Amino acid sequence: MDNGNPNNVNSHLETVHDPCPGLGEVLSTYLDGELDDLTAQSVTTHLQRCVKCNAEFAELRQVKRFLAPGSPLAPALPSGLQERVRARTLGHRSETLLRGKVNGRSGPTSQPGTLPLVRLGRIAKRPWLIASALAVASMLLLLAIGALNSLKLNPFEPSPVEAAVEASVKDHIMCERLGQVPQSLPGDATQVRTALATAVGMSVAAPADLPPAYNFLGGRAFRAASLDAAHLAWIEEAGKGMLSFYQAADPGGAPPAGWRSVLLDGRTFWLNSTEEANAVLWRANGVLYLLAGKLPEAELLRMALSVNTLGTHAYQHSRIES
Amino acid sequence: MWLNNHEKQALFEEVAMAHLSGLYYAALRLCGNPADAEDLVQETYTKAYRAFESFALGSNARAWLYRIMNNTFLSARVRAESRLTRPFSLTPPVQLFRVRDETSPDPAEIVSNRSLDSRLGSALAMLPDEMRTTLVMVDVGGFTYDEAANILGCPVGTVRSRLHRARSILRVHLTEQALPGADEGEKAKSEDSQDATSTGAQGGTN
Repeated sequence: MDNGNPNNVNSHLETVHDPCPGLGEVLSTYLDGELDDLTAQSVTTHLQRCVKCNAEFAELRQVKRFLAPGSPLAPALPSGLQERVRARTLGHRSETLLRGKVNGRSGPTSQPGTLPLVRLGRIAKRPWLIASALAVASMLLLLAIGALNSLKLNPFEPSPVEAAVEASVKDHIMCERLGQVPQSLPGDATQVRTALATAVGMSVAAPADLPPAYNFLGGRAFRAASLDAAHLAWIEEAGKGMLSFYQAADPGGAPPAGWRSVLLDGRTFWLNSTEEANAVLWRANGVLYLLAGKLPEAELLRMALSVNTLGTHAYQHSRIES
Repeated sequence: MWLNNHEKQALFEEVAMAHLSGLYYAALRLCGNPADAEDLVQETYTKAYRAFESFALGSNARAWLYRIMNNTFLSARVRAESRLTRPFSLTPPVQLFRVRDETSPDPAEIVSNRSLDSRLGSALAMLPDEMRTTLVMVDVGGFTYDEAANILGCPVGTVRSRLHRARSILRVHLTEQALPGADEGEKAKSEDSQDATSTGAQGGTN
């Protein structure tokens, strides 16, 4: 009864004299005004005759109204919320415009309404000069940092894979700078992988073939843009760098633009190199994998090949569908 | 599109700041308390401002903001679960909402509204995250099933079934189970105090 099929609903409604089993999902859909006109009309008629469904409808309506913003049960906005949010949002201007540590300055002080530009002194009186100087500085910075850190100059949204890969590589770089995995799960590699399997809804793989002097550092569930990813990390003993492995259910779609593809062993791998990290991306059995680190690309490819992807099928219905 | 800072701020103000109160109410229902709701809204706006260059002017800004808020909320929840703490705590205070007493002069009604609010608030906090976010998108955000599906990144059928299940769970808490005989009176009173915005039949109740 609760598959929303109009034919089932209509034939059910005709037999209203039998004890009504209820309309299920259809009633909820009706409440939201999302039924087609014909089915909605049938439900309206049914509600006029069926006490049980009418009572259920009244309760659903009550629940919906409890949540509505205009409801008498809703509180007022906290005073000053608008001003606080505005000040803190627009006060981050220097960070967004300059995209990173240009001159080592950290974020601005939060003075509502004032632009951090005033700290540049006399130049502040010539906004056009500031704008063009900053534009030039930003362009140079973009060239220096590279594609992974650039702001999106095109108005189109990145694909889910692209967004997740970008988020993961940035995350890897951050972890490497920190020298640790934030909020890492406890235990050795096996224990962490087991714990992560629950979080991401599939068993978590790992490179079988690690380079010498790399030790397991930790792992955690990481939200890479729209994907739930498992993150595992190893650290080189002498502090020469970190190796990160990310795994998530593959949303499908194109790999990040600009990555080079390589065919090895009948499988496709995508590669990208920047000053901060080399990365290898591949997919198998509905799962997306990423390895990132300062190791040479050939080394990363060798490790990618050593990852056993046969046991890590993404479940058809992920645990998120609760 | 490369904006100078003045233009960016003015445009962002026009495009995004108008949706603040709606986002706050949604955040409140997601997090369960005003402090965390404000943190969530603040983080949403900060991220939105940073990503503003990639926003297509003229497209649906409200949906864009709610999507950012949803992702921010879920990321924080995943991080929290991995360290077994909660940045957005979901324990609602005893009385989350202020009842406008001038519209409810009857003390019994005030008490019943407050206790109803507290029960529904607690029940809402205990829903699985994805059910709660879906409910918030449709009932607080006012999005259609298609829009909500787009924001949440799931099929429309999933939106429909999550709503149904979430409301079925919350329905159970409409009545004070512990007080026998209070059911009928409370239900009747609560219905009397509702405004008429339903899409369907006006019928008798039990």
